[in-house]
Amino acid sequence: MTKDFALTTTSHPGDVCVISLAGYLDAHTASRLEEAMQTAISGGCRKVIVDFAELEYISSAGLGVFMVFIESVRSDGGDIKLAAMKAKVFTVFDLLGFPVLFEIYPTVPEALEAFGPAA
Amino acid sequence: MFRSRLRLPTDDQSRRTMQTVIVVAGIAFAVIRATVVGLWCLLGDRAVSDSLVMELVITLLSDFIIVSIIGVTILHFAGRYRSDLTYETVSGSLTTYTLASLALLLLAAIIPHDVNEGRIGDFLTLISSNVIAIGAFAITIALAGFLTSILLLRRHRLTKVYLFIQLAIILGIWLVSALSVTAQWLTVVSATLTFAGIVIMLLNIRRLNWLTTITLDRKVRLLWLTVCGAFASIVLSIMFGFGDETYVSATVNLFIRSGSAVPAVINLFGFVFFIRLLFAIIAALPNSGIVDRRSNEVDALATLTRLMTKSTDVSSLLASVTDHAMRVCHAHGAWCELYTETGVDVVATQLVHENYVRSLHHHRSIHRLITTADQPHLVESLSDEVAAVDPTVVMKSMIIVPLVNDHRRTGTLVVFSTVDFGFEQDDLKLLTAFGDTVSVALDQARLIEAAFEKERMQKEIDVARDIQASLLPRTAPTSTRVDVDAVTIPATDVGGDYYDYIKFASGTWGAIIADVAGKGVPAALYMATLKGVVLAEMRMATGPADLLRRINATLHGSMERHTYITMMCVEFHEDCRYLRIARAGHTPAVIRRGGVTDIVAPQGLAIGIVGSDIFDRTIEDVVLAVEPGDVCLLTTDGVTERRDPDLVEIEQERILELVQRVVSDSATDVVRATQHVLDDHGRGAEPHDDITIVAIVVRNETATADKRRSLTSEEPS
Repeated sequence: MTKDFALTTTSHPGDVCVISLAGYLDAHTASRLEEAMQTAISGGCRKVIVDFAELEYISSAGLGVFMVFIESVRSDGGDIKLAAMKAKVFTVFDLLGFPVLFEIYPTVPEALEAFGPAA
Repeated sequence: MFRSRLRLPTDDQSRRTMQTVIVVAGIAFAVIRATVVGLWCLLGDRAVSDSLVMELVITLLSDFIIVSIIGVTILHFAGRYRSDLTYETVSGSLTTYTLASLALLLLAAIIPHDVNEGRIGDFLTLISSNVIAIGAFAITIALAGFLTSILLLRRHRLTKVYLFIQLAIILGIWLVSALSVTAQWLTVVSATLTFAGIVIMLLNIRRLNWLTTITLDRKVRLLWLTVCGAFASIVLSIMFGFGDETYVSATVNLFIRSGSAVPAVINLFGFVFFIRLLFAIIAALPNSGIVDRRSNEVDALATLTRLMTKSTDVSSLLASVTDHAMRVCHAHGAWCELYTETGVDVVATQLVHENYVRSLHHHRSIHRLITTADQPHLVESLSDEVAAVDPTVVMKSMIIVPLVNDHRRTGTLVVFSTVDFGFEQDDLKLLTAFGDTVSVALDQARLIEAAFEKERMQKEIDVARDIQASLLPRTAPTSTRVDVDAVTIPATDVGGDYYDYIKFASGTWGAIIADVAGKGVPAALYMATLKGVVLAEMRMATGPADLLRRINATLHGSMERHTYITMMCVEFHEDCRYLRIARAGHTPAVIRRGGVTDIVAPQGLAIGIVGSDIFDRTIEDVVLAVEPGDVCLLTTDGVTERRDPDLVEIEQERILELVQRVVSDSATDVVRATQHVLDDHGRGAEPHDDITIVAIVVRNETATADKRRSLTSEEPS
């Protein structure tokens, strides 16, 4: 669609990367998220938090991106945690049964907390 | 009839035969004439003029000889006349004329003078005088033929009239000079006629613009030939013109009375023509450089255009272009490079190896010089332009022409010379025109290639769509108690949505709806796979959740990691007392039971995400008792996310509302009503996802008794 999509990656102490998403995540923009995830993970980051606070919409293609990386990250002892989803976005995750697979937190600090103190 | 016999032969064969006949006849006449003169003068020791009969016979034979020369000349130049005037024709004729004249003069010079009063001393003089006379006539008449054809080829309105006047003047002068023995004042008439003839000749030569199309070096050659021709013609003219004093004139007059007047006048006319031509050539010389360039440019561009229309593939086009560019600039080599995402692609090299060009790009300064030029650029001396250039680089001067396509730099055409200052500004201009044309041609060739590719893709997609359509069921399982119908509308040519009707191990019926994440051909392929798996597993499955477990077990691991399938399965019995529903991450069902509409979303993960251990644990069957009038609506997210032109999604309430109020015994009606609500919301906007609707309606048995059908007789596909 013609809606915009924006993405920023920030590093936090303790090897945690926070990828903040904004706008529309669909088949056209999913590749950018995939690239950002790839960059973060190949850069040595094993603890990834995806901040959904500004994300308006997610399509099936966007959802697929998380599944690409979750297994390899977990086998390396890391995790991908999702945080601050709007109700509508959460519904999409919920319908697919994603809460079984991913840890979803109401806010980013809570997700950071869940990764434990920097060690 | 007479006219048609006069017409000249058009085909080469008959013309050649005719020429041969005339030549043989002419030679025969010459031999007879020489024999008669020999017998009369040498053996009889008498002048021809002694006897009137003898003179008439000799004159008649001479006339026949001249007529055959004229005949051959006309045949020859008439054949020429059809072909266009070229440098080769003119220069060939001039060379022949000049050489023949010189030979004739040489012969006249070495033969002893021994002609008196129409009497001939010995056989050698007899033969040589005949040769000189016939040769003189042949050369002169050929010259006349050449001049005539040259004037006729670039004729104007009066050319023919002038030519006839000139012919009349020649004949007049001949007659006058023949009679001048009796009356001295006739020489004045002769001189006046000669002058008039010269004026007419000058008037007749008007169009010499064909000269401008001749290249410079040819013009220079033609200039020398014309000088020689003018020299030959004036010498011949003078030789004949000074009455009986010269030997040539004397022998010609011996051959035919006052015969020398004809060659004298014609050669004089020829001289006038040559002088005029000489001036024209000299006048055309200074512009020749420009003209040559222009004609080169026109030729080059014409050739380019021809290449463009001929070749549709880029590589052969570029090869021809570089080859052509190299030749028009007299360069030592050329190449073309295209800039792709991966780097510089060197193609169509001429007289230089690709690897050498690639190695050039390792010199940073040369690389920058070539790739950053935004205008066609002439590098007169590479060592001057680029500081510290490697002296081993063979390119000393070059022309760099950027190829621009849609404001984007797509490549460069480079032409080089192995010497400094190998090119001129004009070469640059020429190649600039080249660059533009090549850019257009490249664009065109790429478009054609893309169009072919697209057409091919479209055909494959058409096939995929047809296959996909054939995978969907054609008939719905229907009984007196239950009616089922469905529709799917792909957003693109091939979609990822799927619905089907199945039969479980227990013999109960089921409807499934599925959505493969993603769109297009990959999604369609998964859909086809899914259909196969569903068909294989349904006969062993005991219920919806069991079927979905089996499907997940089969597909998990064989699907790409970012892909998954959401699915929903509803089981219903022929009596339709209950619905059993399982959901694998799919859009929830909307169900109206006993007048109350609810969203039904049993637990379950999408298929392909996790292995059996987690999947089997999470998925569940939900059993709902139903009664007549109840409606179950299954949709994909294309329905729940249907957007209007402002991209606003449809509200869930509208779907719920629809299910709440729909009153019908026909599932088809429910599907149509749903489509109507979606269209109403979409207001003509293109759907952004596939739309699939499956409706299950529990019938009121008494109301449908008249259209009773047996469910078991219907075989789902």
